[in-house]
Amino acid sequence: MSETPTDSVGDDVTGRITAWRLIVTLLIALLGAGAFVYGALFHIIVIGGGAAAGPAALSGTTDAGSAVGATDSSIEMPEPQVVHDVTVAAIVRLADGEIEKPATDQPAAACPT
Amino acid sequence: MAMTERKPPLRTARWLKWRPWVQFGFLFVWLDPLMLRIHSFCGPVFHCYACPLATFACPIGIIANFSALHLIPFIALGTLAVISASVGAFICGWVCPFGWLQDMFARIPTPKVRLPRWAGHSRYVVLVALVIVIPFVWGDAHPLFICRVCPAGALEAAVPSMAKAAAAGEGVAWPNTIKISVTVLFLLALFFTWRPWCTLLCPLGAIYGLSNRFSGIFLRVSDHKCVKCGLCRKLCKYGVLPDKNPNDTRCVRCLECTKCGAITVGILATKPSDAAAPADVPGEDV
Ligand code: SF4
Ligand code: SF4
Ligand code: SF4
Repeated sequence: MSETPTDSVGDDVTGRITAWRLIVTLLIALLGAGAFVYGALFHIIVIGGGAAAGPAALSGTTDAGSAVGATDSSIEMPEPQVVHDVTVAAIVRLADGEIEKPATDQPAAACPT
Repeated sequence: MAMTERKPPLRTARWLKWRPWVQFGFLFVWLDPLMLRIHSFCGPVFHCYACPLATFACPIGIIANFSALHLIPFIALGTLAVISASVGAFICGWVCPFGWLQDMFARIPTPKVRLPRWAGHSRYVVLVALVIVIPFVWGDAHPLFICRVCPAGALEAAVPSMAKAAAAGEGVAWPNTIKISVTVLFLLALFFTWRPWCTLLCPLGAIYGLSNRFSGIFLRVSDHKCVKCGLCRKLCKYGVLPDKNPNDTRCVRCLECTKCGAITVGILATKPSDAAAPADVPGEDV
């Protein structure tokens, strides 16, 4: 074979690359699942429960937490099932005084300009 | 390359005729007429969640918006990591509605050119610059914030909202000049190459392309079946050399190259058919 595949898993029939690939794949899948559960738990429980610490918890930053905490009582929290990430983000911006009312659930693309 | 006798396609190749229908079927997942709008979660595809019918949020829009707010989008990143580790770019070839749209345009019989192989790298510039760095440093008001230039946003969100405003007799707010320009160029390019957005600019495709290196489902070459005829290279429209590098980052997993019979779909932790079955048996091919 003049052009032996170099990147193909099939190139290593002994399973060495497959084992490496298995480890990387499982690691990324586990990290991803962990991130998803972490995000979803805070998203649904914390925000849905009415404590506006969600963005802080999601972000892990104190800045966002203090910003949101400052306007905790002034924000009418949406139902958890209709809260989505950008709404969470909008809450932070609301708390920062960047915007005056809760954003719609649409991203900047919705703004045709 | 020496031309030798062709081998019949394996099972994977026979799936191909169903690909447009699978893509079409998934439209009913991403476009939700019941308006459930489960925007708490990302779909794993490139579909604008400003679209009036969008079921899920767009992961790229989420990442960019969170970057602008200096927050970590755990749900979006988690979704992408799990999808990347499992099926990876099969999302592009079989599931993504924006990929399907481009595939449909590709059926128009206009002369098409293959883009140079290096073109795929520009997707990473878009991912790093327009989705992460620019939003992080300048916020979502910057004219190069991804959603402000995105043709999916223009076609799936701005057009319906303009039509709605026009129908209601309200003033129509036009997209900005950059967005209109990108969208017009994209629409023109659809007639002259295959999947121009996926190939050149899609930041989500860039992520899934990287995952071709480690995803649980992948492509492999069966050495004993490859006759070095170059057919797989001719079948691939995206600059991949499937016989040499079947898990290239440019591969959208359309599986066209599997028609040659030597490229097959593999699943993690299964042995190549070469090892398990030296005879012409599909082995673990799916
Ligand atoms: S404009 Fe583009 S990047 Fe932004 S949310 Fe819509 S599809 Fe995603
Ligand atoms: S490259 Fe992007 S637009 Fe193309 S199919 Fe993949 S996710 Fe969809
Ligand atoms: S190598 Fe090319 S033809 Fe084969 S699945 Fe990937 S994109 Fe399709």
